[in-house]
Amino acid sequence: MDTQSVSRRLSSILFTTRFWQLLALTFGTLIFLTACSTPFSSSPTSLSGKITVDGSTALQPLVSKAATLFEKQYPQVHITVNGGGSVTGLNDVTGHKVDIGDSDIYADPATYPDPNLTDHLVCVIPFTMIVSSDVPVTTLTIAQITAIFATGQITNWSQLGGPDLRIVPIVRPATSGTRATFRRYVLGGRDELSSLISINSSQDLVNSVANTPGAIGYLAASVLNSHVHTLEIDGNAATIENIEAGHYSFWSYEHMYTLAVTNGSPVDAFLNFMLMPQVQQQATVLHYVAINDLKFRQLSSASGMLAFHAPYLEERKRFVL
Amino acid sequence: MKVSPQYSLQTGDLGTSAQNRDDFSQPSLTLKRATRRAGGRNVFLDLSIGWRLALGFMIAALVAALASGVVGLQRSQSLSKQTDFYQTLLQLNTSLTTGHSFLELMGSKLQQTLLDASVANPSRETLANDAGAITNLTTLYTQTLNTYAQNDLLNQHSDQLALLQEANQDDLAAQQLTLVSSTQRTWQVYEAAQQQILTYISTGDLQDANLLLQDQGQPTNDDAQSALQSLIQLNARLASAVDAATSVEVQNQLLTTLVATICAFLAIALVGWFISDTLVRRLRQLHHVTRAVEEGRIDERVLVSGRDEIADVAVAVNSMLDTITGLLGETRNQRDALAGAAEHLFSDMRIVNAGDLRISAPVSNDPIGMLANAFNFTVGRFRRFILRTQTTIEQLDVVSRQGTERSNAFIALVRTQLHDVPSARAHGAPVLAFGRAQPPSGPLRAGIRKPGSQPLQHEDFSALSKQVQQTQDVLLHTTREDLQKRLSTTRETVEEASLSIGRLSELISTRSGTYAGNVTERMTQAQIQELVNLENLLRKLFREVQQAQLNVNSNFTQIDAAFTRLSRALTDLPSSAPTAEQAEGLSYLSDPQFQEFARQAGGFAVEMNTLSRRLAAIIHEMRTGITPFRLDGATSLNDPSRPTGSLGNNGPSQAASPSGNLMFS
Repeated sequence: MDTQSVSRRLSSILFTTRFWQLLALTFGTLIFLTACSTPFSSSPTSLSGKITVDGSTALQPLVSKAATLFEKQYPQVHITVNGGGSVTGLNDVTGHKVDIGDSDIYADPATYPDPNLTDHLVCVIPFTMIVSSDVPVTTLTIAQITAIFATGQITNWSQLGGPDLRIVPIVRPATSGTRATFRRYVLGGRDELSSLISINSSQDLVNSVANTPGAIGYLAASVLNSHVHTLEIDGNAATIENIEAGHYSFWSYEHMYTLAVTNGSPVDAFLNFMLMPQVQQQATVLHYVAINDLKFRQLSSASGMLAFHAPYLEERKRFVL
Repeated sequence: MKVSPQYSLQTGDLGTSAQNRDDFSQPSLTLKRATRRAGGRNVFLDLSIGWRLALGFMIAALVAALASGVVGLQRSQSLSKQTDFYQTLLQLNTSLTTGHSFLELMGSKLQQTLLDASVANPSRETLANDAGAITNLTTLYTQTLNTYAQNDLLNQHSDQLALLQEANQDDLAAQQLTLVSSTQRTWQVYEAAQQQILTYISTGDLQDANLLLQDQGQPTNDDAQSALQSLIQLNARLASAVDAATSVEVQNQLLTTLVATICAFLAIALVGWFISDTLVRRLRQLHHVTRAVEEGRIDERVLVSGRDEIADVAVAVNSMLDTITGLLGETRNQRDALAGAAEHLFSDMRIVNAGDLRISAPVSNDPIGMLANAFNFTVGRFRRFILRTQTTIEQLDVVSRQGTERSNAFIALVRTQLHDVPSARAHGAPVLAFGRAQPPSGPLRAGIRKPGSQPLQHEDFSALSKQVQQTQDVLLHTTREDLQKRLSTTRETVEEASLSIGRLSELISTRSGTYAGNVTERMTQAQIQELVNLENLLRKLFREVQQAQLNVNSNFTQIDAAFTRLSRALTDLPSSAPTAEQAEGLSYLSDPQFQEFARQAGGFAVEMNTLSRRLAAIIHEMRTGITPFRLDGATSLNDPSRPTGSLGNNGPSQAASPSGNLMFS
């Protein structure tokens, strides 16, 4: 081989722009292929569509707030938030009427057997007993509450160390998750008296209690206002510490139930958005408990959680026997 | 690499053109043996090319293997991570599903227990079995939940958490915690209710038990199942998160692959460039040097670096160039020697041209020597011709002198006969001597002597003179033939000489393409001219000689005839003289016949004298022509028999040097 031709060929290969062009083209193609193979990550503005939410009125304030924030971030997405109660929400979501059904209670697998029904716990809502401002009582026991709501044995505040004022229990209708929680965790499964005044929404209830002398009711902390007094249960206020310690059991997880949600859809994004710090911060502002703020000291411990069974037993024995 | 054929060692034609000679006579001053070794500069250059290439390929292969190894390792790591995660998820799913069936069993068993207790006479054993089963299920479910809470939380598995973080779904860990809390809580509520119901049953408070089961037991069991269901569903989300993480990992792997590919490409290209750099630059330098040598700069040398094959080639090229330079020097020396020899020959020729024919050029084995040999031969040949001519001149000289002498003697004899016959008889001897000296006159005299024995009459003189005239004519004819014979011989010699000249010219023209001819071409040309001059001179001389011989022959014939007649007359006269002197001593002197004869004889003698003088003049002329040649001294011709060397065809006629020494007179 001629050295001259070798060197010339090599130099002509190495030092021509064409070679570098070819090289750049090769790498460019490689990078392009890489870019093509990369699935496009969901960019903020690419979401569009409609989301309908209804159900729990206890959760409604937070969802409405979150929807506003979400729509600000994703202008193409429109979210409709309605109330109607937890059971309505579960019925509507399993009936494909809405995308998300808010609920204060667990969906009964027997009632809603759809295997795609997925629970999203977005926050914790503490419930509290309220009385009208003219009632000076600050704490009641589980037994006393049961006697007022379930058995009707206590009808006057004077029986509880208060003024001589007739007790007016105001309750929520059967669709209310608050009521279900109240029955399960405070009344020990007992039915409320059927003669009690029933108010459809938490907001109306707080006003009714405020305007009715001697009224007593229960509601979510998120709709509490200053016109009513809160009551401690067994001497425990509705605080995070008491909930974590298991001293206060009148609280519930806030559920957002969905059927099958595709990854990256607006519903999925909204559900994730609910867990974002900005929404969780709003939850705290609105007197919810941020889902990650609740830290149980002993997850495996079952003791102390239900303070009701011993008094329940006693009450039952007392009333039944 | 090309080597210009101009500098090939095989060709002997140094100095084809004057420019070429200048070209390589100049750098000869700066010739140097420049074999420089700059080793140790680059360690790789000490390796052979084969080793270097092998090393380069090894490094390239290593780089490629490293790149693909990194990619493969990453892939296998992520794969094993994913596999572990999936396995964990499968186990969790199984245990949680089992837990779910425990819950269902507990619910149905609790109802069964209540039914068993509601019969009229409840079997204690059955109730104990039912209670045992429920307690067992409770323990199992509690264990399941505790195991999950203690061992299977994502927070406790950093690798799983890392995988979720890759998919940007690490909030699933918090959700899992929440769901576990939820499950725990519902379970605790149900467990408490269940415990209460069992207590009612064991205390026989079936109504309360039934009530509690309806109001609390069943709903809380549902809650517990629902919460557990959520926990189970979390597994599906975890699985999809792992899937997302996998795709992220695949992207990362692709990126790694790309980066590794680019790195490998650059590394391999670098290695290749480095190796080719160690080759190409030096090859280019080698090429540069060969190019320079091709253009005539033969003092260029390759800078040798390293100890590989290229270095070997470079050393070989350097030594080859050294050898070529040495050979060029040697050739130059030879050329100088040849030029010297040619110069010497040229000066010899000059001397010969000046007329000195003693020259014998030194003969060597080279072409110049052969030329010198040819030259010597030509000169020798020419010299022999000159010598022959000289001899002829000598003979002619003698003949002319004798002719003059004899004509004088005859005139004297005639005068003596006329006045003093006896005194005239004394001159018979020289006449006879002359007759003997001339072989053709011998038989004539003998032929004449026989009839001469008869006594002469006075009237015989007229017959005698007539006879003289006849014999003169006959001899003239015969000598002419003889002359023509000589002429033809000389002509043959000349033709042979011309042939030799042709051969020499041919020889020179064929030799002109050779090495020696290159050097001394000019000299050879000059030499040929000189030889041509010599040839012209030779021709001229030949013509002179021819003419001289012709004249001499004719004269000689006349002389011979005249003298023969005269001799007869004279011989007859003395034989009758003793009688005639006394008897008619002066009678025939007054005889008109005799007067006629005397007049004729006198005329003849005068004529012969004139001829002799002319002959002498011609001889003189010839002598002056020959005198410039110096013939003595070197006489040896190496090889006179060699049929080489003659003279050219034409040229300027050579002027005989008047200053030439007269070596003979």
